Amino acid sequence: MNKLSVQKFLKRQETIISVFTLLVFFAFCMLSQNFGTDSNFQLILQQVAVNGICVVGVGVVVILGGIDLSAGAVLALSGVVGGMFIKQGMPVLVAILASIGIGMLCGAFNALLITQLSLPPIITTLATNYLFRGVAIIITGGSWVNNFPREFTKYGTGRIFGTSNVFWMFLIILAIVSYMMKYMNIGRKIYAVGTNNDAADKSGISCTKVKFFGYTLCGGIIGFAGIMYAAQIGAVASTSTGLTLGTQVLAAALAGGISIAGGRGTLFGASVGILMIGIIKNGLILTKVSEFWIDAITGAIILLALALNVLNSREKRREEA
Amino acid sequence: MSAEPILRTSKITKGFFGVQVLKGIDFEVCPGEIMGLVGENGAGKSTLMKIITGLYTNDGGEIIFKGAPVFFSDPGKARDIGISIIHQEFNLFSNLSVAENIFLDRKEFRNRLGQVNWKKMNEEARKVLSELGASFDVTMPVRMLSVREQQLVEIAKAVSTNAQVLIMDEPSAALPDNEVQNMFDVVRMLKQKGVAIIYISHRMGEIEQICDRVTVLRDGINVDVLDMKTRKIDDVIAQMVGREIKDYYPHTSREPGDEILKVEEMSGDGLKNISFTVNRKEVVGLYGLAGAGSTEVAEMIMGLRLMPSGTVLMNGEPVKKNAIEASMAAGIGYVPPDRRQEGIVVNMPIADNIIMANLPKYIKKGLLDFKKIAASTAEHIKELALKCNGADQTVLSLSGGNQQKVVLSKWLDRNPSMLILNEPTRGVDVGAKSEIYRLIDELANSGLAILLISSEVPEVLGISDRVLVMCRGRITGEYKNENLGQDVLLKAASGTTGGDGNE
Repeated sequence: MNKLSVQKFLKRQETIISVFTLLVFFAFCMLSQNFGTDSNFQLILQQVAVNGICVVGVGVVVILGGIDLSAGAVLALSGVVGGMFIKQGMPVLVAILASIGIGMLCGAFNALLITQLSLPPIITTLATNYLFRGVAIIITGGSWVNNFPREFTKYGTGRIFGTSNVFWMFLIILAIVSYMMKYMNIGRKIYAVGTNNDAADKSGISCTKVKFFGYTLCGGIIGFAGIMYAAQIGAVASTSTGLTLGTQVLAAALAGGISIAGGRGTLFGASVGILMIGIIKNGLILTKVSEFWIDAITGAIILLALALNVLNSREKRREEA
Repeated sequence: MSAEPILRTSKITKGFFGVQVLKGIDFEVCPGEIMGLVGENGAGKSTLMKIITGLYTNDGGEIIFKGAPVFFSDPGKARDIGISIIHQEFNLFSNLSVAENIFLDRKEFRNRLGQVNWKKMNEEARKVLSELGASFDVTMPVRMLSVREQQLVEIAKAVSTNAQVLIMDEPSAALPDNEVQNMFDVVRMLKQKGVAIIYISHRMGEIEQICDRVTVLRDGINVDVLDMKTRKIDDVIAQMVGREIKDYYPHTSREPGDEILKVEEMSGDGLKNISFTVNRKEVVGLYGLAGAGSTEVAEMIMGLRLMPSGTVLMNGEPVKKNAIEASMAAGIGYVPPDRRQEGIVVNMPIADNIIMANLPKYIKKGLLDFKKIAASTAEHIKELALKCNGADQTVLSLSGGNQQKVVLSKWLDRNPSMLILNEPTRGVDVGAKSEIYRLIDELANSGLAILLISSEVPEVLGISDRVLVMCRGRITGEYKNENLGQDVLLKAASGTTGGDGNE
């Protein structure tokens, strides 16, 4: 690697957020004896796994120039439906497919409103967030779906090489979708549509199709996260599961270098972002910070990461000029 | 030039909402020919091109490509058979690499599974660009490129689809002057290869320089095709406006008044020791190529850009630095170069745009006085002969020239003693240009001091009383505009005369 490409590497948003996350990690190691242990590290990975899967989906949508605030409700709805399938005694695979299917339906519904009625994504998904959660509450009567059989929960609680199954699933999904975004034609079209909708249209790329693909993929991925949530936690609450997921995942994606304007950033960066948030939350608890302070401090650290990103891209623009 | 046209249209008609825009246009272009297409805004140029490229469908008439009638249901179809267009606003993906921008979504670069072959794509991109005489990193995101390089990417895109007809819509609009010639080299090379080129431009100098023939459209009809070997550009202009243009650049000789603006040792942000004065009743042209710093000068005078050192004096009084309110209060108005971004609020009515810089004048008891606004805007509309359906029409739907009149009215409403006009005729058609020139002349005669910043030499020479030339942040020449030659300005602007250009 020559000097220029080293500089390029150091300037990348992914590098910045990774270094920042490492700094946060070491800071907590010094602040708390219990933080830097192997078992706590595994706990963090387990805690971020479901959100990590979600950030892959939402990341795709933000890159294509959209936004998905309904992620939390989709997680709850698909988790509830998958959980009910399990309770009915359906095979686990069928339940998983049902959750993914529900997620894809939700995503396609978002895409339908956004592309056919030309509604702004932020408003659309703000509304469907209520709608999807409402459906979850109606079909469960507002109660929990829990007491799953062991044959099901083992998928969520099991470990491979000491690390949570679900975290491995997250890594696999991240790898597959990242490959798609970089090396498959559809991935490049997603970046193209996110960068310049008009130019894509004039180049013969159907923005509608690409958006449908992106939102539906996002929904399907969150649907999968929903059933894994059920398996991992052992319960899904229609009213409260994933309440803050939508904003948290969005914050992670942006902190990780995905541009809110679309077309820029990588899913890897977004995933580091979600890891950073997980580390902060876990670390604050272990350092015995008053629980009243946790949200405020988390917010402040995310803001710092975002500021670093903005400053970095501002400097880039100056170089271009 | 081979006699057989590759593309021909016959009796093309097209109407929108009952208004006939094209009234039976016959147009043709031959392989290896550069065909100019000119006409005032609204003459039907872009509608015709949109029909040829399949963006619109014609109501009547035929498009004949290589001797056979063709019909395009979408832009992809036209591109597939060999008709490409480069729009005035580039169709590029700033975040994607150069190679991707050229070959995005093309079947040759992906396998059956949809995997993209990056290696092949980059190699091909390098090849296409080197054929155009360019060599920049094809893996770089397009946002890092200069405007000229971006245009080359657009051309490469067209060439790579084996375009046999290439339509260029105002290709020089975004380019700095010194790079237009490089663009011409590429266009001539394509011509050598037998590509038929349709060159649309408002800049008559370019049309004269590069086109073999010129088709003139007026009011939806093709009025003439002129062979540029035998005809002059004045003939073209006469055909466009339908009358002889004797005084395209009206310039009354006048005696300048007292000094009003004085800039002393303005430096920083690329500028080096800029000092000059402007008098009442005088048009001072400030000419410079892109990057010379003339916009920086204007923005520092106006307080829009931080002025690291130097003084701006109005009527001998120093104007507070870095504060647009102070500059406005001192009587300066500024018409910025990018009209749509900086000059007007496109979605707002004419009236709201006009009063925007002068709201306190229209406030009565804390509320806006709409009677006064209506009276005042009606007066401006009449005074500047602004063509519109009324003061409540949105500015978006006005032509470029009329939009510029709105910007001018906004400042005239403040009764300024000095106006800085930055590229006031950019994107404005020939007829409206002439009107704006006359307006500038009248304003100067009425006592206003005018600083005209422009990168078009004929314009600067045509209407200025005095000319300043800038190059790389310095003033490299100051001339009285008497028998001043284009070459003098160009030399000073490219830095070849150094700083000894004072009269």
